[in-house]
Amino acid sequence: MMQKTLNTLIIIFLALPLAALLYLSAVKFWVYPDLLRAHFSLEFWSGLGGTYSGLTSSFALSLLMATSISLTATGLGFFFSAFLLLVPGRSTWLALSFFPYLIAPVSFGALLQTYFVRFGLSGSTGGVWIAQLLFVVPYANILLSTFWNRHIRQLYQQAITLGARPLQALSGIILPLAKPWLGLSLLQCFLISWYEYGITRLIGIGKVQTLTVGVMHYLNEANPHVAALAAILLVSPVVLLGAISYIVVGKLSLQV
Amino acid sequence: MIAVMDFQKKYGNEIVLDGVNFVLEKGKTLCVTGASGSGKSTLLRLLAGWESPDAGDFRIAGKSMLHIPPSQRKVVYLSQEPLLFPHLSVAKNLSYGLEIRRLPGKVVRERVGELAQRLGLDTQLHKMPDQLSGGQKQRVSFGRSLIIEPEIFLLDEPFASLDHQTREEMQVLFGELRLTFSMTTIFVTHDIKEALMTADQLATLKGGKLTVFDQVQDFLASPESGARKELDFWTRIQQLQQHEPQQ
Repeated sequence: MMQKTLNTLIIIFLALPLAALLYLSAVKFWVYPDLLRAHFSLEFWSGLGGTYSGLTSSFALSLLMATSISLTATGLGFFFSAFLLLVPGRSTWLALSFFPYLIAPVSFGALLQTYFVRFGLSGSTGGVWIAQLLFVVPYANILLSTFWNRHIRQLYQQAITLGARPLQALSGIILPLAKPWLGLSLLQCFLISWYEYGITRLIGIGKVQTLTVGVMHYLNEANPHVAALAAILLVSPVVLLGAISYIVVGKLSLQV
Repeated sequence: MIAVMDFQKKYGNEIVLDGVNFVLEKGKTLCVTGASGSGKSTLLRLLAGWESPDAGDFRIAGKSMLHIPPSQRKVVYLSQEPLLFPHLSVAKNLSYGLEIRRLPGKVVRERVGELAQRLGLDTQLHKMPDQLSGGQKQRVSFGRSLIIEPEIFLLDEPFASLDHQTREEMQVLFGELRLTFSMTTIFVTHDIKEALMTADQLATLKGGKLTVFDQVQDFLASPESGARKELDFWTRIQQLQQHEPQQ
């Protein structure tokens, strides 16, 4: 009973801000001294196809960028962390992976900026993509290093000794065992890229409008209705991914 | 027949194997004893192809194996951990080597069924590895290797993590299997009794050198094998029992 009440309270606590945002994005006027703004309107939502189409394109850009970065960083992180198991100095490489997170993302962006200007990548979507990737890959490496250990290596060797080619051992043995880690890495890398602001602002120099940058723009404009709409767009894939990963990773962990 | 010629391996300045030589007939078992860190496992890892020797050669039926990748050597390495694939059932673990060779499903099922019955695993086929006892896991591990009919089994203290009774059962099972399947085996153990029970040929690795004994008596008499010490110990126990006053 106590647990059930606690769960309900947590759900209310998490859902309440979302409900408030949804409400703000679906009302128009506020007449003093009314407590609530009672003029419901879908004007801002329908504006996504017109007046606020910038939000729609920012949403699409962020989705594309976060998805591609998540896939690339997880792929690179998986193989890089596997490689680290085979070479000496693993702990040094792992310690280096923490570097972007020891300094603030903005400082990391500032460090990169000189090179990006030099190579003509500053202010371009490609430049922001590369900068974000440089920030996210070390995270994937750190996370996936927890999967690779002596036992996994022995299982791989056992598969090889039974006649499996490296790709067969990877697809039949290693990848099924790594699924929960890969799922978590995909989700976390997506989130890091999706919410990334500092590096995107610095390398994108305002020309690359991801959704996070867009939300800040509307907040600065003091337009609470559009800012609420942008914030809902910002959290929607995260809520969806969170729910999916909760179900999928939970099931996979039980299987493994 | 397998032949190992002048195998040498160094890690930094430490010489682990210093000119190891031996010949083993097909279907025979060579037991290698030696203290921890004497290079027994290194020898097996070199034969399996996980590491390369600094010098020397390893041949199966006259063909050098050094440049053949581990997956194509038909040399199976079994350690004291059964290393079952945790996401596959017992049946799938047993059939793994056949399935990657893309054998027809009917053949795979028949061979798995036949082997499972021989190993006493026919009622366990649907289970997952974490539902098995230590002995059952080792049986599956043996079965998974036997099913692909390898040229050589490399056994690295395979029963070391088992309890006394299960260990004895597995030693007996291994004895039966090696005769039935005519297994050519290099069996590494530090247990003298186990070595005497399972070997056709006995050898001791010490200081990087492998001494192969032609006769069991030579092995027992050799101070290097450690058998003398063990025999003395049991003789003393026997003497103590004989002199114990009857109650």
